[in-house]
Amino acid sequence: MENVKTGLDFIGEVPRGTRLCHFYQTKEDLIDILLPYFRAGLENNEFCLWVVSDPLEVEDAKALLKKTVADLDERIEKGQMEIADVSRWYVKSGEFAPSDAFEGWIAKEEQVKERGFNGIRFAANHFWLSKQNWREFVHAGAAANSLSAKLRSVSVCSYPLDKHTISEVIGLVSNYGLSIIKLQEAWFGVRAGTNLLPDGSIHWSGIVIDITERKRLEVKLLESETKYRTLVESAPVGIWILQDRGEGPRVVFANPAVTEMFGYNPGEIPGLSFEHIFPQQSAAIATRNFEMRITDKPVPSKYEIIAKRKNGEQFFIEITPTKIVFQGKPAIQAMVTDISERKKAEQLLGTITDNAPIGVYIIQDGVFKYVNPRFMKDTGYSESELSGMNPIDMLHPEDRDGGRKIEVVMLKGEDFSTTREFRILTKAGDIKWILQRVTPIQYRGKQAILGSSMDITEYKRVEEEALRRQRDITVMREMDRMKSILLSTVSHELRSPMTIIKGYASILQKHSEKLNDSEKRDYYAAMSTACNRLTDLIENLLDTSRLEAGLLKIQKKPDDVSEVVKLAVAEARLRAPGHDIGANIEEKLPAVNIDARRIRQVVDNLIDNAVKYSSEGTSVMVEAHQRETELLISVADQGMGIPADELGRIFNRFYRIEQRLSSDPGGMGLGLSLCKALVEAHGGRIWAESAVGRGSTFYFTIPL
Amino acid sequence: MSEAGKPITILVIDDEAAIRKLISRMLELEGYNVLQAEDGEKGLELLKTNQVALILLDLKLPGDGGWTVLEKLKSDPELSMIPVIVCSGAAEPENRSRALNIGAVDYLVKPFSLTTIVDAVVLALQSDDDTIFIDEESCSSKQNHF
Repeated sequence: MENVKTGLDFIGEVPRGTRLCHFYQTKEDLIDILLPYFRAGLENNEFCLWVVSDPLEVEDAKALLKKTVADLDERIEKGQMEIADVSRWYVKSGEFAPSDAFEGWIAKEEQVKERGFNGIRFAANHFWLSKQNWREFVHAGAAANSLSAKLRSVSVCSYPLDKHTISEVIGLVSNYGLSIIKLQEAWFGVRAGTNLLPDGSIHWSGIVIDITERKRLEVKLLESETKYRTLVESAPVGIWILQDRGEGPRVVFANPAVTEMFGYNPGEIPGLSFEHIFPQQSAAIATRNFEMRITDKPVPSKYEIIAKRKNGEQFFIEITPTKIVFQGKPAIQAMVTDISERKKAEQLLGTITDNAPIGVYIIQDGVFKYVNPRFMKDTGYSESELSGMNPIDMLHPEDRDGGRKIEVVMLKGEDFSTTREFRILTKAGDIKWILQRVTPIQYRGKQAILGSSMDITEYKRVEEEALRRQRDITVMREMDRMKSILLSTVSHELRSPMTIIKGYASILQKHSEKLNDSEKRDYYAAMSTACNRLTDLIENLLDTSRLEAGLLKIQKKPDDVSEVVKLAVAEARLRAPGHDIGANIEEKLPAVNIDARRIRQVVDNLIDNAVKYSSEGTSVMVEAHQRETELLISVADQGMGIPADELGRIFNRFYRIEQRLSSDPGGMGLGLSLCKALVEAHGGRIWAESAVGRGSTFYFTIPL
Repeated sequence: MSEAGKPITILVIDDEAAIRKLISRMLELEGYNVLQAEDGEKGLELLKTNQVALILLDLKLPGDGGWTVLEKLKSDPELSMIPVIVCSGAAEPENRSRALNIGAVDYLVKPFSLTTIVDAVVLALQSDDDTIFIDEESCSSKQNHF
């Protein structure tokens, strides 16, 4: 036998066909029972008929019921609920007319079947009963029971307790499966039966249970439930409750917002399975989510899903579920929001970003949550490769710290909207310059970063090219300036030996007769030395030009460095008789692969410098030793020395030229840079140590 | 050459020994007495103890440098009357006008011949005479010339 909810928790469910008897004292007692009773019926989509008499009027009953059933008017409109005065049912023209009432019930059954309701629920107040029609009424009870069973209806018959004698009460109670009696503040549940004994007397037996406490709790429960219900019914968001009662999850409750959202009539949604409210694929997802949450497995706090309206139209909803206990069993209560507008906007945005000429992405929880096709193209990664990738890992190692900083600030929700340039490594390993702008946003209910990026590699390349050209031009201008200084220096330097030659030539011309042979030889020698100096200067100049043009040729062959140095010292002594040029040259140095002429040029240059920058009468020391895997040659003077800050620059090509305009003793300034080039061409190193006022020592090495 | 037959003394300041030697020899052959200094400091020292009629000054000197030496000579009331001929390897015209502005009487560019330097010396010494003459006895000096 199918059970049906009475709406009265202390009774629970009863089999269809059950008739309940109810004794009341006050109007409140009456309402206490009937309001939850009808509400349950309406929710269960049953046809409800409420026959009222004193102390209730039709309008009173309607107003009271409306408090717990918000859409009562609609339900009356569509014929699910009828509230009628007793005169229309039992008492036609002041006479009790049970057959009329029975016919009315049967007629109702037709109507119920026609309209697809889930059964019939009656309630009638028999306040009108009087002594005159008492016998007839009790007699009709048996017929009513059999009709009720036939119609599979549930009914409650109310009697004013104070109007009936105890024998009448007992008589009535035995007519019903179950009776409820309200006496003062106490409630009793009574089940009774009659037996015909062999002596012909009727034996009455029954059980009386004090259900006062249960009823009191129920009233309280009803109060809080009413509050909750009012809230839910009037909520602007959709709320439903899902529960599995053994036939898979179904909607067991839906508020008006959900009903409207899904395009159903009031009361149509409860009882619907997921197949009704979701398209096939979504139903499976919704079922899975329901089962996960009901079994307390981790599930998203909200999710989006495609739902189905009554007319079959599909639309996006967002569901925010919570596990609750509903009617004593676990259920899922969820907020249901129609997000089709938002989805449309998202789809439009998607169309835009899919076709945008810039990269668009969303970063959340340190990984990419969304990337558009352009971003994939720029980075060379596919969507699946990017999803779950930490964006920092994509940055050029030198740009990672900056990236982290921004991410930290943004995830705190602080606005750090900014445009910046950085480099990324593409999947192919290329470096690309990206112009990026990021903004903090809320994405799927959580803090995230929305970024847009533009590949500016080509712009950067052009920019760098322009800068490089600018630098080249600057360098070329500087070279040009240096060359004119060089030219002026060269002409200046050449003038000294030329003065000697021209001067002595003119003396010899004019005063030949006054000069003795020794004097003349002296002058010719001076002219010859000056010619050699001119030659050296020109050689140096040419070598510098060759060096610049990359044409300086080194022709190495095994040679004895000590011989080269010895010879250089011997000739320097002739050139600089005013200096004491000493030598400490290790005997039997191993032969090394050198261009002897070039090494000689280096030693000459260093000795000439030493002489030039020290006073006559001071000494110059030239040394050559083997030191581990190289030969070390040094030239030390006792001259003016070189300030520490200039030591590093003296080997620069134009160092001397820059200095020349001040009080430098002169020289073309090409010597040391040439020495450096020559030593390096032999695989060696050259450097200087110096103390201002005490002298300098120049060193160079030749590897063995 | 002085009228009294006493040789005129010329101071040569040049850092390059070979050049000092050359110029000295040129001037000695022409009958001048020559003093040599390798820098400005030594030159000024010699001027304190010697009667010098003319200074030949190189611009490229260690220490103070030739320009500073020239400015010192021309700003010293005792020494500013001594004519200075600058001998330089720098041929740029701006160097020449700068030297003349400071007070040099002539600017010779290396290389120079014996004739060039002797002509310049003679001219400088003459104008020195003129200056003295105009200040004291204009007529007698003029007659002296012709």
